[in-house]
Amino acid sequence: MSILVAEDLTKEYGVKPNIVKALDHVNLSVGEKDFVAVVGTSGSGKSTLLHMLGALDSPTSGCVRVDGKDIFKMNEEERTVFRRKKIGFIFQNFNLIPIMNVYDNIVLPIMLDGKTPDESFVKKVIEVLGLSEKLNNLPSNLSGGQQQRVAIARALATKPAIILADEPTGNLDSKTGEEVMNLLKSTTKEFGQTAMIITHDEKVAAKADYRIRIEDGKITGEK
Amino acid sequence: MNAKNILSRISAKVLKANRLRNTFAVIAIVLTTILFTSIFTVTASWLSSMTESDKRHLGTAAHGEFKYLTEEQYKTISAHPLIKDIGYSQIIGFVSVPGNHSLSAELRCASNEWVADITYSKPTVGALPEKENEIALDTIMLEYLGVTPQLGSEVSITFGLGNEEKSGTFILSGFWEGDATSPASIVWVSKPYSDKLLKDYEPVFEEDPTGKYNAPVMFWDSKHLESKFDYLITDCGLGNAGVRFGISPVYHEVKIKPAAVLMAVALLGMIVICGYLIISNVFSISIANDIHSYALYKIIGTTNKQLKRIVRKQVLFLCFIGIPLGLVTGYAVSCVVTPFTFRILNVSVTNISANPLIFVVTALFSAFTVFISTYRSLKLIKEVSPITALRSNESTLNKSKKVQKSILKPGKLNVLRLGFANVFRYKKKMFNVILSLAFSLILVNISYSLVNSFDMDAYISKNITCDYMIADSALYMSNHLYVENGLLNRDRVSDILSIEGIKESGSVYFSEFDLEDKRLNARYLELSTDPMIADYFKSSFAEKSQNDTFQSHIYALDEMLYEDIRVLDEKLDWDLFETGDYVLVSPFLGNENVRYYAPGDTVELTVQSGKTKTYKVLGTARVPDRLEVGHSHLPNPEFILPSKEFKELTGNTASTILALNVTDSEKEEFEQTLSDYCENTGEITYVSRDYYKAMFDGEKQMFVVIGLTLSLILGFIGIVNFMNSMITSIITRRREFALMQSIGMETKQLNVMIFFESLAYVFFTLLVVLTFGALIGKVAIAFVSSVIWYVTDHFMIRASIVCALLFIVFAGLISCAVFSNMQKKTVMEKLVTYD
Ligand SMILES: Nc1ncnc2c1ncn2[C@@H]1O[C@H](COP(=O)(O)OP(=O)(O)OP(=O)(O)O)[C@@H](O)[C@H]1O
Ligand SMILES: [Mg+2]
Repeated sequence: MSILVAEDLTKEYGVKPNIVKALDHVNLSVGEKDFVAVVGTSGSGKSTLLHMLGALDSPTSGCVRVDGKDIFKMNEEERTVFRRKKIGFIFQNFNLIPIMNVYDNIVLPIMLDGKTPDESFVKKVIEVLGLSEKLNNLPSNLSGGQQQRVAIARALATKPAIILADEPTGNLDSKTGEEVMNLLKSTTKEFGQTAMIITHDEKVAAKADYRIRIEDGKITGEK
Repeated sequence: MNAKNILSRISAKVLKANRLRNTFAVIAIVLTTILFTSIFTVTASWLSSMTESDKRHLGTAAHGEFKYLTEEQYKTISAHPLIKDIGYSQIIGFVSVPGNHSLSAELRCASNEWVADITYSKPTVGALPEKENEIALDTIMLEYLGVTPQLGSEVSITFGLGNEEKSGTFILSGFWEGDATSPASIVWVSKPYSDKLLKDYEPVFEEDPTGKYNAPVMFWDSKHLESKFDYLITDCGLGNAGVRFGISPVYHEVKIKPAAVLMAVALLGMIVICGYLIISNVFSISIANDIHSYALYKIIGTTNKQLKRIVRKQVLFLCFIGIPLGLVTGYAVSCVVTPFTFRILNVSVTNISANPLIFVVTALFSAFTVFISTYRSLKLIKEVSPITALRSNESTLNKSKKVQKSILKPGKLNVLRLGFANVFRYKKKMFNVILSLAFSLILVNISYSLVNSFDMDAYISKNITCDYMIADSALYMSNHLYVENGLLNRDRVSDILSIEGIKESGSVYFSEFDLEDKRLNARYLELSTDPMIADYFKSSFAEKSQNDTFQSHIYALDEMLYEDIRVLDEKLDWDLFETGDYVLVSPFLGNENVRYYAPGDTVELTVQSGKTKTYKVLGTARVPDRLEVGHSHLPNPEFILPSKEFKELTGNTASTILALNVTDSEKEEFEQTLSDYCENTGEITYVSRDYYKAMFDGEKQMFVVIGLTLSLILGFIGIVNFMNSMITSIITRRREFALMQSIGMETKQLNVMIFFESLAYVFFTLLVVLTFGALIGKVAIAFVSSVIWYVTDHFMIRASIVCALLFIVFAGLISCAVFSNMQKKTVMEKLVTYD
């Protein structure tokens, strides 16, 4: 069963004659509970692919199906709500809300969905990620690794089916990076989630079930 | 906690993180609210003062009045459920005041206190008369009767009852402050007294109102009063009894003038625009700066609807602070300004309205302005893509620009160019700031030009052409009707003329008579075929004569005043006029080009004494308003004779007005003597050129005060807007500045650059003011001068240039202040902290 499917996905930036084809007729499918790595040189279109799959940006043509639903057939509000329920994001530069403390940052997506956080689950996530001591801190008072763990906790807390991560270890030293990756791998396994992780790091890619290689907006290899 | 709660919590956090923005937003909301409050308070005060003055002038605040009811009829009507309040005022007769034939007072008997209250004649000391020997009246009457206002004083009056003259002595049971502007006083006696007096009274003519009841009425509401009266009369079975009623014109549905509506809409529109310019700027600058966090909220799954609510909640909170503050301040400002504005109105009652509706309407208007002002920010948020949050901190204000030309030309670094280039980076923001600055400058300009356009000579010469005008008091008091051959008689004129210092003098004389002329009705019939003039005839004040007699006036003027006569023919032979065989005739008032007679026609004037003489019509001319007696019998002609001829024909020798010119050096002493003399007689009054000069200054001052207040507030809005955009732009570019410094730009250069940036604002503002603003100003002044006759069309640009200079100083001060504050950190500190 494929949970994440892209068909003929194309994304162009700019206007004629300076068009950049960031994605060029990409076809791919990711199975449920897969832990996939996306690799490729800088500027090859990895982030663009992730943005399309995660419904953060809309493609020039082609379609994306998440859990069997064509996400670009929905209107913007429906898509936002769908994304909020199904997908958790982790980014290289963390993207935490600076004016809210760690706990608020973690539970915010749940509450935006109009739900009460499942306290025991959230507590578990927090414990697994070792953030129990930092719950009342503002993001600016945390180290990079800690911030990244908050971002992971935020992505996990909503119990999304899919986790999309764009170079989650890019800003971390190799030791912390490995720690974060291990955490990510074990938590997604534990919670039965599908994960897609963009990375430049061979060590990181090696932890994946398989990897997808992109060059010049095209998928060149899958293994 | 639920989703609604989380949105409030986010709003609260965002609010907390934007203190500076909040301050500016609250200031903007307060200023806008002040403007709205002032406009609504002044308008409401005007309306309530005018209505109240009208009511007082009418002598009643009731919706209407049943007239001449019998006791039976009154009883039937007063029981009707349509009526909220009713009472009667029984007509007895007229009280005459010895030595003052022009003051009238009606002798009445009131059913209850409500009637006295609604007719502004309720005793404030004591009570209405109850016993047969009691009486209540106002202080003006008491003064004329020579009675000290004290309960229990003895009051003797004489009054007319039918054709008889009666008199009586009473005990004062109550009195109240008289109102010099009301048309007639009321003197109350008790029911036992009137019953006794009227027991054997026989009507002296068919419709003799003596003993009948006038009944003021208040219905439950003031809508459709006429049909209410009609229905009530029919419902009471009095349909055929010939019951009469009058509806108070105060409650007539108001016909609003298009010019007034236009002014109001323009004014409100202007405030909405001003408010929009600043509030929208404050919000969109702040949201553009925060756009990354809004994109971030989108990434973690916040919908547009939720973001909209987050912004709305903040706006609501700021409104909750700003609007009440603005209401209070605005009302305080209005309390100061409103009294000045009353000078333009002809009102006797001036109250500053505190109608709660003012505050409700103001709050609604302010809230409306604030909410439309957030439109642009909400659009900004809606359009931002979530992935914006993933990019580095680029400005989204100039996102439409793909490439940028180099702003650094080879050679020396041109700081001016850098500064200007920065201004153009944020076009929309600049546009708002410039418009809001320009608005205040344009208004300053208009007020300044307006005040300078006030033509004192025009104003004064319309009211007075000599130094002093002395007249029978009745002429200048609204509760008196001038009666022919009045109090400025020969003796008084010669008394006055004996005062030292008079250079020149001349009198106006006046007489009423019935003109008998068979030609006139035919002439009217002929005129009424012209549709314009037909309308004039239809209007209520044009009385038509049933037979061939027409009520008319004769005026006569001494030679000194000939210059004041408005001659409508090409020229007049004054020598012929002086012979006394000729008469001047007024033009038809509905259309001054229409004549009653042709030159050379003859008219026969028969005066009250019965004396008759036939005159030849010499030409068409009018006595100016300032020399007339204040009432005329439209549409009938009026005549002018030389004064010698007038006196011979009518036998009247009393002047209505005595005009004087006085030697300048003796003016002060003269005025003192004259004022003492007038006060002593109590029956004659004077006005002077200085009096009108003071009135003129008062009216001018009103425009100065209104214009100044408006310009000040608008100017303040402009400056706040300017400050907000300068300060926020400097703060958001702190990192950019730090970068520039790190690559070697000197602080001084940076300072100059920022100053040039603010100069650019002033420069473009001036450009708008001098082109577009000049056009608006010209139109506005032309409009005002067409509405107010003593305003000449005279537009000036001077004021805005002076203000612009002030702005430049401001610009310098602001950029220096903000910058020096920033300068306290080292370059490295700045690069780190502003990351
Ligand atoms: N907003 C944009 N406007 C124009 N071109 C863009 C935009 N975003 C990306 N591109 C272009 O699309 C191509 C793919 O970019 P993308 O960010 O997906 O690369 P990437 O594989 O994530 O690279 P990296 O490993 O450096 O993050 C690049 O050539 C980039 O220049
Ligand atoms: Mg990338």
